Amino acid sequence: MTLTLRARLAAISTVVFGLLLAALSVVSYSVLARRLDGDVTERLTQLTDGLHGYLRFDSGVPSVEFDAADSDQAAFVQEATRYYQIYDVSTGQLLVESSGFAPLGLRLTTAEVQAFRARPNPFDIVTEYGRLRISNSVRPVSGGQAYLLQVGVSLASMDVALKQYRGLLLWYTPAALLAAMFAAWWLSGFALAPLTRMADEARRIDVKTLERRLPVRGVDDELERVALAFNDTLARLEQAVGQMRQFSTALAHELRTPLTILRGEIELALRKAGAGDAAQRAAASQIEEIDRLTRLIDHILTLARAESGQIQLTFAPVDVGDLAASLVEQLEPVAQARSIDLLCERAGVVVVEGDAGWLRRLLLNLLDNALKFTGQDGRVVVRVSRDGDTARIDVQDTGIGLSTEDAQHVFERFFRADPARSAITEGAGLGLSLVQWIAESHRGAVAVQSRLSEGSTFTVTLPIRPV
Amino acid sequence: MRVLVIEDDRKVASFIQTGLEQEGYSVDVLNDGSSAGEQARTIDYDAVVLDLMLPGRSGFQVLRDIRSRKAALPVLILTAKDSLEERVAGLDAGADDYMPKPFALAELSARLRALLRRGAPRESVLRVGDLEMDTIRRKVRRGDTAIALKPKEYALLEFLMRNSDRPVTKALIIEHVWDIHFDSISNVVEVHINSLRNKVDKGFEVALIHTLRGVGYVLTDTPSS
Repeated sequence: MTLTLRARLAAISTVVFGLLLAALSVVSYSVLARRLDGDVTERLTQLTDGLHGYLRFDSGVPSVEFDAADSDQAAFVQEATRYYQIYDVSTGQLLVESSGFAPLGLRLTTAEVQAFRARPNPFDIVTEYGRLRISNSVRPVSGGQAYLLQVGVSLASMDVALKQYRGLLLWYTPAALLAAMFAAWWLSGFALAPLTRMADEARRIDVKTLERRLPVRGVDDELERVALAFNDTLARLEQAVGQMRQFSTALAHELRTPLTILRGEIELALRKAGAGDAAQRAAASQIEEIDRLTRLIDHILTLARAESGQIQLTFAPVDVGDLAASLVEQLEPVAQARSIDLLCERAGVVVVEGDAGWLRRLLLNLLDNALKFTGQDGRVVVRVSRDGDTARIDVQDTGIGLSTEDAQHVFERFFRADPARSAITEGAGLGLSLVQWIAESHRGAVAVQSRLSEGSTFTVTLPIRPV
Repeated sequence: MRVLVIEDDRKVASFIQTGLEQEGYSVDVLNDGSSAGEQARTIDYDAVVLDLMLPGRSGFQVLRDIRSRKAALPVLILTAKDSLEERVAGLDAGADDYMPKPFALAELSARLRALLRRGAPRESVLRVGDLEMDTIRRKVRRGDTAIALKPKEYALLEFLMRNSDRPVTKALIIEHVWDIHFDSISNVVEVHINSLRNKVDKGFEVALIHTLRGVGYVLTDTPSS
């Protein structure tokens, strides 16, 4: 599957933006988390150190003493004593615990108290009120004793803040990514729009309108360079086609003049020649050959003019059914002379916008072809029908047919299915090429279905209204 | 009958002159168009045969020169270009008839005859030998035998009878009898000539319809050879 350039550009910029956004999210989250964590640890150190200052030991019993009149002191002590407990290091005995600490059930064994003395690192515990960070610090008291103070501080507010930030990132990142995707799609569309316009413009240029050029805005950018290069190509093409047209016109003239002289002088000689003698037969035969050559030149030049866009079609409503019926009527005697049934079947009124003269030529060539290759007691049927916005003409014969291989080449110039066919007719193999050109000039198409020795069906489809 | 031929190719001009002189015309030839208008004014020609591709002065300009002096003089143009546009342009410029090259001498003289005859009253009863056509009642009889013809056969016979004793080409027949250009790819003319022969000549002592190989057909009761 290949994506359009626009889709690829949009996808690439969305992916890049997404990666940047993810990196930013991860980095900002981890910086914030570390910062908040550091703040909490610092506060815990302050609380622990401060509380040590307020502790008094009276014969081994600790108490907190502070100046209750000092509101700063009172607030500090209140915060520091929310979660704390004190152990006697040597006995491992709990000396005091705050009311907040009691329900946590964090009772230390003597061994644990000893362990904390060795490594007094803070640690976190999870309670039903949220996480707590607890500091351990061992201090000596007078009399050779030492005590372990554990102070706790709640991590709840930090955890809530981080949770909120995570939630924000979880919603915001996909939303931003989506917005970026739309923006990228729009932006690449915007950037590529001139290219699309150029393509549309270029598609309208065909052999008949080679003088057209892509619009040039006079700014030196990438798209402008494409347009200029395309216009250069068109100019060269126009020149080449112009030379080809001049050539075919000149060729027509150059070939016709000697043929005219040849034919005229032989005709004069034919008048003088005695009836039935060899000279008369020779002269008559030469005239026939000159006429054949003339027809061949006419056909080639018609095709050359058609394909180099020198033939302008005149579009008007044409009743294809009437056209077919009138041709069938006129060719009826030809068919009768060969005992061929020639029929015209019309399904409803089929009127297309087309060039009556060339459509007639199309039908005539197909009918002529069908009659040529259909033997005695055969049957040639023309069917005109309409299928939605398409007119359909089938010319079906019971003639000699074509092999699958030959059917593929039947619209090529000078194509002759097999040598045996040349014996049947003198045509040059240009009639069907012209049929194809006429159909395509009406934005239609021609196709063939055939079986050897069973017959062929040529089908022309024409849009009712070619744009 | 005096005809002016304006054709730059001397060989073409020469065989047209010889051919038309053999048919009793007197023929003047000009190899370029510079003095054509003047000559058409001073000499009383019955028709002009004009090539469109002339050196120096185009056939269209020559045609205008002639028309400005002799509005009614029949002009038949010849051209090596056969495009429809060219044909329309020629007729629009005031030509009376048009023939693409190469052409048959027989056709040129038939077209000239038609141009010269123009305006003359058309006979309503045509006769060739014992063959008779009443063009008002659309009845055909040979001797005492009435002949029933289909429309195309009738039109073909009328065209042959109006040109009796003179050869007509297939191209001329197609142009006059059929409204389409069959491009000689179908033998539609041969088929109709055959069926006409079956009705007009079959069973009669003298054949009237003759094939001239390399030329076309002629309807006559006194074949020359």
